[in-house]
Amino acid sequence: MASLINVFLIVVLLTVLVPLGVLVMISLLPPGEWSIPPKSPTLDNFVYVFKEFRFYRNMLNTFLFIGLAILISLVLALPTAYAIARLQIKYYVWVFTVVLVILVKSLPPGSLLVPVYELLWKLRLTNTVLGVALSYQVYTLPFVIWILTSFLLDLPREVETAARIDGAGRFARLRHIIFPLSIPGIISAVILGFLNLWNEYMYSSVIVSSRNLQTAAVVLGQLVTSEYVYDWGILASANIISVLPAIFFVSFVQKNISKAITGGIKG
Amino acid sequence: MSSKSFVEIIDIHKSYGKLVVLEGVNFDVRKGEFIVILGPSGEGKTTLLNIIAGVIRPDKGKVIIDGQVVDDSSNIYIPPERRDVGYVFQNYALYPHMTAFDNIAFPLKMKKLPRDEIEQRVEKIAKLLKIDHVLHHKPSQLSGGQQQRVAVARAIVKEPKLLLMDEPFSNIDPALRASVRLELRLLLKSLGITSIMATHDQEEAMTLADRLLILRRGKPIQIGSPMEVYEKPSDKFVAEFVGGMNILELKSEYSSLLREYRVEGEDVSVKFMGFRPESVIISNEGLEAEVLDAEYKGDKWTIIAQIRSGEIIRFYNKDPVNTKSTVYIKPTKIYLFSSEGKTVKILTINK
Ligand SMILES: Nc1ncnc2c1ncn2[C@@H]1O[C@H](COP(=O)(O)OP(=O)(O)O)[C@@H](O)[C@H]1O
Ligand SMILES: [Mg+2]
Repeated sequence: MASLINVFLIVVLLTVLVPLGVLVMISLLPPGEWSIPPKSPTLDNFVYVFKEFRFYRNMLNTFLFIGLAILISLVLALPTAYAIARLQIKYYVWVFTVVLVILVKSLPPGSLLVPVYELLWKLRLTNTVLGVALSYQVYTLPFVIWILTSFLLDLPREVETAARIDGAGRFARLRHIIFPLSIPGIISAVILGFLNLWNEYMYSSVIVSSRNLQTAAVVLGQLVTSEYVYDWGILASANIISVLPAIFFVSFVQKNISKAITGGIKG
Repeated sequence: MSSKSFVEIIDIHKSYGKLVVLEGVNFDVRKGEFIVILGPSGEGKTTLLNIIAGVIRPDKGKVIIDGQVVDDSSNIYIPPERRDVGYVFQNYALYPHMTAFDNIAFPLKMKKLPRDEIEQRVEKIAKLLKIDHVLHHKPSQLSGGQQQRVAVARAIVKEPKLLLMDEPFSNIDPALRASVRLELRLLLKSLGITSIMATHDQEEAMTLADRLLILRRGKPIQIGSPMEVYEKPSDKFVAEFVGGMNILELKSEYSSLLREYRVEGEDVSVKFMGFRPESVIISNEGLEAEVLDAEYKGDKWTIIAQIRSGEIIRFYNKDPVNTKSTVYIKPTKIYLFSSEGKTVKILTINK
C-alpha cells in the first residue's frame, strides 16, 4: 500500500519537476541555440531580464499591490470577523449572506471586472497602486474574513469578558486582546494572500495600463505576444525569476501554511 | 436593608427563553464579608455572579454596589469595565499571549497607572500569592495551582470594591485544595476584600464562608453562617446538602422512637424525619438496623446500615461494627420536616 502511494507521489512530483527542469535548461540557452541540455549554458538571459527588462520592478509592483490589498483587507476584516464571531446574528441575515455569497461565487470571476473597473475609473483610481489593491479585495476580503472569523470563534469568550472586568473598553480589548490573539490568523491570511495573488492577471492587466505599474504576471503574459516570443531563453528565465519568491516564501513559512490551511478548514 | 450592607442584591430575576434560572434573589453583603453561594450545578450560581459583575443583565431586579445602583434592569447599567469588581473565572480565563506578570498588570495598565507603580504592585501581590518566581512564564507554562493564583492576583491587584470567584478551586488538585483554600481565606481577610464565591462543594463552602447562601430552584432557600445552616437547616434539601443528613419518611413503625422525643403521631404536618450521622449512638433500644458496611475514617468509622423499611442510613461510630449484625440506634437530635420539606421542629434528647 505504502509503495503504491510512493509511486503515485513520484509521478506527481515528476509532472512538476520535469517541466520545471526543462524550463531551467531553456533559460540557460544562449541566443540561437536550441539544444537540450544546453551545450554552452549561460546566465545572460537572467542578466538581460534583470538589467534591460527591469523585471524586478514588475515583481516589486506585484509585491506592493498584494501587500496593500492584504493590508486593506485586514483592516476591514478584523472588525467584521469580530462581529461575525461575537454578535448574535439573526438567522435571516445569515440566510441572506449565504445566498449572496453563493450567487457571487457562482458568477464567473471576470464578471465583476467591468463594474469594479467602472467604479475605479469614476474614482480616478485606475492606473494607481491603490486602485489595483482595491480591485484585489474581490479575492482577498472574503477569505481574510473567513480565516479571521475561524480564529476568533476559537478564542474563548471568557478571556474577553476578563478584559472587560479588568477595565478594558471596546477599543482596548481589540488592541490588547483580540489583535494579538489573531496574529496567527493574520499571518495565515498574508501567506495565502500572496500565494493566491502572485499570478493574478485579469484585474491587474485591465486596471493598470502604464508599463512601470504592471505586475510580473502581466509582463510574463505579454511576453508571449511580444517580439520576445521567439526568444525562449528570455521567456524561461523571466518565468523562473517570477517563481523564485514563491519557492522561497513557501519553504520559509511551510509550517505556517499547513497551520493556515487547517485553521481555514476548521472554520 | 441594613445601613451596613455594602452590596445589595434585590429581587433578581433571570430567564433564558423558557428556562427560569433566577426567580427573586435577595441578599446583602457587608463590607469585608465572605459570602459563599452554594448550590448544585445548573442552579444559576454563575449567572448570578455574572449579573453582579455586569457581564449579563437581569430581567428584573437591582444590583447596588457601595451605594451605587449599577443595574436596575431598565435604564441604569454600569458595564463591567466601570464596576470596579475583580472576577476569578472557573477556567481562570488568563490572557494566553501575556506572561503572568502582564496578566496581573493588565487591570493596572487599563487604569493608566505609572509603570513603576504597576511593577511594585504586581510584585507585591505576586509575593503574597507565592508566584513571584513564575512571573515571566506564559499561562500555558504554569501548573493549575499557579494559574489559579495568577487569576486571583489579577482579580485583586487593583484592590476592587468586590471580588467575585466562580468555583475557583475546581481545577486544583484535591490533595492541595484544603491548604489553598485556607491561604486564600486568610489573604482575603487580611486585605479586607469583600468577596462573593460560588461553589457546589458544601465542605468548601462551610470552611470558607462567613455566611452561606444556598441557591435552590432560582431562590436563596437559606442565608446564614455555616453553623446556623448546619444546626438549623431551613428545609430537608439544605439538611441533606450541607453536612449530609439521613432523611426517613415517617411511618408508624418509628412512632415508638418518636414518642421518646414527645412527638405525637397525630402531628399531620410532619412527613419526614432526619438525623445527622454524628448524632447517632448505638444503644440497646431504638431503630433496628442491619449493618451493611463499615468504612474506616481515621478517628472513627462510617457505618452504613439498612433499617427495616429498606432505607439506607449512615452514621459514625468510634469502633467498627460487624457486617450483617443487627444494631439498635438512637439519634440524640432529630429534625422533623413538613410534607413540603420545610423544617418544622428540631428536638434533642439527652444521652
Ligand atoms: N447563555 C445561556 N443561554 C441559555 N441557557 C443558559 C445560558 N447560560 C446558562 N444557562 C442555563 O442556566 C442554568 C444555570 O446556569 P449557571 O448559572 O451556569 O449554573 P451554575 O453556575 O450554578 O452551574 C443552566 O441550566 C444553564 O444551562
Ligand atoms: Mg457555574
